[in-house]
Amino acid sequence: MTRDISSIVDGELDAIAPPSPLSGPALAATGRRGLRRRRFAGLLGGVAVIAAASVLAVTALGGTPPESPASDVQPSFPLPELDPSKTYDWEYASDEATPETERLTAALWERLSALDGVEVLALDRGTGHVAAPETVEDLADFPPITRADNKLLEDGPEGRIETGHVQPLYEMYGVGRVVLSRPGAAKMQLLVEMYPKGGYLAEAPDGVGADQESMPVPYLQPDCEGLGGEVYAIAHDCSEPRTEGRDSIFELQYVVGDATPTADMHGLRVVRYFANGNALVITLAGLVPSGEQAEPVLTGEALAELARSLPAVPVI
Amino acid sequence: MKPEQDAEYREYVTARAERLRRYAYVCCGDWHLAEDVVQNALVRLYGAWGRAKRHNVDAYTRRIITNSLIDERRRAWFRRERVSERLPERSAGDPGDAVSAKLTLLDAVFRLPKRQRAAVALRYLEDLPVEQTAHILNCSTGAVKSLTSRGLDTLRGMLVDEVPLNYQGVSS
Repeated sequence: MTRDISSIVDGELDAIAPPSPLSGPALAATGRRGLRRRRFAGLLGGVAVIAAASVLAVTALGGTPPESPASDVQPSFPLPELDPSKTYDWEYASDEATPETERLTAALWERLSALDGVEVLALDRGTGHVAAPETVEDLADFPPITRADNKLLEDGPEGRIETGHVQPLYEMYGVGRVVLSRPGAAKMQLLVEMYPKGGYLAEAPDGVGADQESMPVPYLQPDCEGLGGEVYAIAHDCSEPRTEGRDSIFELQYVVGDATPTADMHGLRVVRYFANGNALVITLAGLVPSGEQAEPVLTGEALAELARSLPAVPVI
Repeated sequence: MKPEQDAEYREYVTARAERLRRYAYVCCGDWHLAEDVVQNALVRLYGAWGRAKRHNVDAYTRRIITNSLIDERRRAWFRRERVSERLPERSAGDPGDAVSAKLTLLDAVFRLPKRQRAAVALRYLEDLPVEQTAHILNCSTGAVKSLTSRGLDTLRGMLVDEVPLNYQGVSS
């Protein structure tokens, strides 16, 4: 059976496989560039010049943070002690709607459906159906924000081992994707996540370097460098330190070079830290042909405004 | 990375990239997406070459590919936008022709749920042992056996009237 399936499928693939663009020398060159960018950004104290223009701004929302209802008390989920010689990973489990995620979803779609000049599309992976809401009542067609349990795993020689640490996360995953589009701008996918206190740090933990792969929680260096291992080139200017206990927003544009052989990934991310320590992360990202510039579908200010408009729900 | 490690990496990619691309294609049914995912995995492998070499490079790379393709929660925004997941197009053929028999088997594999498809691909196309398949899919060996058993049952059910394959000697 094994040989039957393998030989038949291989024979069919021989007949239909297009030429492969994957080459050892080209991929090694891409890998070297990726490593150089990360080291270069660190050496210059966070001011990278390799990427296309990107700006990080910090805005303190100011005033007294709105009081949260007693039912919105936010527990923390501190990481266990990590071994810097090891690497860690997350395993996502469960995917459920809760009163908090429903509240967040409703607010998000109300704001998205009110965006001026921007088309909001939901793409259903399973059916390919494309929908664009006209009213908030169309919410049922769109991927909701749901609650997931994240289990922290430690990489070992025999595979991944559960550490016992579990952290909730609200995220917009599932069977659909949301894409924002407007004439003259790159089409961009929207991703919304809300981390509990300690899940997306505004500062690097003590002793953790920007390149440290063993740190599984995203963090911003005091000079605003680093968004985990996913972004390789950032130019930024962090003009104001974060104020503990106050709402604040980081806004970041970035470019990931050579995301595919012919295109770069252009992204815009806003991280809003609530007074209770939770972090709302809204990302817009889309592919742009290499070397070209593209207007993002929303400005940083508009994305920050979207983040400000969403409620401070607890992540539990 | 030292020059000799760089050379080792290039040699590995030259030797294995096509096999990885085919595995990714069987998982997702889209050559462009398969190439994107394999490229991303191999670029990540470059940065982790020393660590990956201490264990199993193929398993390390396949795990990245598998996580990208069958765990839709992760790094969704790095995928090229696609409006729909269409099965690869096929030209019609004579039912008695060996070529159409091959086409039917691959089509049947594409109709399996993603984790079953990945398990069947790893066990029977890539010829990996149960333990390594479990490591790549991040599940128990019992789960691998269950996935492949259900996958093979589904394939048998889809193909029983199409292709008179010899299913003897199956070990799950």
